[in-house]
Amino acid sequence: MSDMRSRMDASQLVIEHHQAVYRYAYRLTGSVHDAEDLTQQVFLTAHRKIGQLRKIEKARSWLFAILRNCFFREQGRRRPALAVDLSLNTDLLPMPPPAEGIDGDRLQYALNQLPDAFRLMVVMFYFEECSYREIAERLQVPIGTVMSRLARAKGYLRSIMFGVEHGPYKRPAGVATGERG
Amino acid sequence: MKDCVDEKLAAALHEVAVPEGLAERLLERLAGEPTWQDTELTVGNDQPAIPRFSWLRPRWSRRWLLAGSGLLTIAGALLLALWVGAGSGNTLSEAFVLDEAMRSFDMRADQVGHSLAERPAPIDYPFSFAVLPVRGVRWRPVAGGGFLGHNGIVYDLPGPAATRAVLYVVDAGTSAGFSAVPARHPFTTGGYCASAWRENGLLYVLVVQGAPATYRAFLNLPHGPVA
Repeated sequence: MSDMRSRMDASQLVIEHHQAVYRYAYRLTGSVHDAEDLTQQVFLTAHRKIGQLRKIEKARSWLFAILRNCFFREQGRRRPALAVDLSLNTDLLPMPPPAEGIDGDRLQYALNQLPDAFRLMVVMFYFEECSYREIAERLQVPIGTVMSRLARAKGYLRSIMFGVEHGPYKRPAGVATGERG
Repeated sequence: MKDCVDEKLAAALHEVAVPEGLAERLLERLAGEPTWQDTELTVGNDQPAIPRFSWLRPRWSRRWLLAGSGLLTIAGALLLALWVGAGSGNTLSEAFVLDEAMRSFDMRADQVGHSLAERPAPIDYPFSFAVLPVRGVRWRPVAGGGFLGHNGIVYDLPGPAATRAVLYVVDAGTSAGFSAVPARHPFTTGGYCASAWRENGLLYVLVVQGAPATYRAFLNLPHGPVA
């Protein structure tokens, strides 16, 4: 009886949040297979640690936090950690033709070019709709670092997605000039 | 603040096709996972039972719990064996005896015992031949459950310049490793000197408040070369 109840709890999380978790995972990994593996890892971890979830309304952000941890742990196994101050020189990147809409594949291609730390911030900002401060708190980095990385990452994404027609990207407040990669 | 491009990017990021059957595969995978849980039910007076979020314990927690329980059991058994052994064997070490004697030196110090001159001590616990029978010696039974669990009496010996000395005389039990006479060079600590010895099947412990010279003033040892 109790086993059925716990499984039902974990199952509820799957039913309600598997799509969001998968999408988040896909944007981070850039691969269908890796995203599904990561999603499964997230729910298995959630299944084991479900007692840590005190408020059901926080379930989604809790799952996303697990996802981030799983992602970084997996990335750490695959290759050494990337240098956080990796500079992005958009001038050297191939410039795709301008597009009116947003091509999902091209967006993912652009995301894949970003270092993990940058890509995660982009996904947290756009997908999870976190504020700079929330990103800084959850990743335990200075908010200035978040603003700087996001500015560079967003500039890169715009240059890939929209080309030069859209002009220079709007810098987040507080980012010093000259940070544009 | 997000501009129009940001909004487009945010919307595009959410546009990801979810593989078919993903939820079913996840549920199937979860169904194969063992769970250890502590389901709590909150039941109000007139309310139906409200299932609270269950608490699942990971597999390693159970292993650690078992390992911890095993270690605790072993430790408890060892402690019990040591305690039983110490209690039943009556084996006393000199260091343990001296420590206990000095620790209980001031216990019942205010208790006035019987004057040896007026009331002889029990014949089972005679005064030691190795200690000077100074004037004014008093005796009393050992306090509480005895000295180290042994029955006996305590002789209070008045000394010069208001110094005090106490001579414990208790059943020796199976104590071993004690000399036959008090040591000339006693164990000293915290302003106390003490030594223990066996005499006629009894255990004697002399504790003197003061320096070794004061301690030696209470001894009644034959003069000769110091061992």
